[in-house]
Amino acid sequence: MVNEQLDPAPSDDSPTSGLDETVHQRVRLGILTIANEARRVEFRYLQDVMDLTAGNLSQHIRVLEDAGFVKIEKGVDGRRPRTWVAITRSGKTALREEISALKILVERFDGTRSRSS
Amino acid sequence: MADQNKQVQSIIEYADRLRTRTRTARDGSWFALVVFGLVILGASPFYDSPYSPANVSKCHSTINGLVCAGLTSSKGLFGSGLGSPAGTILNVSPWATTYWVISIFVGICLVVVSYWRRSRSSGLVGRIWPFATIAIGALFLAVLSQGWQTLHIPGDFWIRGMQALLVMAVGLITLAIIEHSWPFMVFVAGFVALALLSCLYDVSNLFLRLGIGATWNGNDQQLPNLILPALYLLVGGVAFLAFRRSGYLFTISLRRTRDGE
Repeated sequence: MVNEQLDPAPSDDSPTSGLDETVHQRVRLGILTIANEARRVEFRYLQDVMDLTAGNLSQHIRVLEDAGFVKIEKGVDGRRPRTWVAITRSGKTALREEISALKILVERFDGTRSRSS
Repeated sequence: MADQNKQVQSIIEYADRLRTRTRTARDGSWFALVVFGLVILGASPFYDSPYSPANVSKCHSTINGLVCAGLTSSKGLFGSGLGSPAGTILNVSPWATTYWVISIFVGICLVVVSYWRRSRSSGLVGRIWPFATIAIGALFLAVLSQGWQTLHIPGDFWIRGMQALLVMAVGLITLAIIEHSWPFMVFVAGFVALALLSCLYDVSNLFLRLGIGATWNGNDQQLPNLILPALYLLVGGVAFLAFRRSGYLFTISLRRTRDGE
């Protein structure tokens, strides 16, 4: 859990203050990144690409759903039951803000390193 | 501090890898290039017709241009909006528009079906309906125009009967926007340029200057205007397929490296 190692209670001007706990977690960031590239993504695709167990993936998706970042659609394709994950508008915004916050963080780290050397 | 920097960078790289892999799995733009390339090549018989300057004795000049007796009776099923404007083009069959309408429509359907099949097998559903809607809309408008001369567009633009290339260009631009792919967008921009060149210029002149096909004459004079964009799309389609496969292998190898395999 990278976010827990960075700064659990950042102050307002802390480099990590722009990070959202819900999105920052590596798996959830991955789910949002993939979902952002398609209208909807099948559960099985997420499981294969991210190499997760169904239970583990379900937990992370539930956290994102509770936060309103993804929507879950269940259906049947032929005889096969399918679960689809679709990113919401607020999910897209959260992902964009998270990525830009991470990039700012890297820039700050690089700036600090160049000043100290 | 250095450890934290590495952690953050690894998260960004991880997200980038997932994004690349997902785009690669979803992307089917190469198929559209191959389909439209074949559609253009398939039009060749309609542009190597007996309506050539060799038959010019059967033609007389009118206010609308040169009209050839016995050769302009049929404009096919869809009028003259896409390549066969009222017999004023000597080298183009009156059925060219009919061919273009049917083949482009079938081509659009094939692309949509291929995306739909891919989404079912991969588990990634993309946005292909904007492509279908805009491409069919452009085709519909071209047919409705009933010949571009009625829109007071200068004859230089439609005299070679290559307007269908622009309809395909509109579809490919939409596909490039949907795919969020800069390489594909740049490639499509090249096709738009070629489509405009084919509309406005006799590409056979270019070929002759380069010493290619010194026998281009009246009958087949328009063929280079089709062959050049068709080859561009076909070669591009094969190249994008090759890059797609290599990209897929690249992301797999990255994953294996990460997993220590």
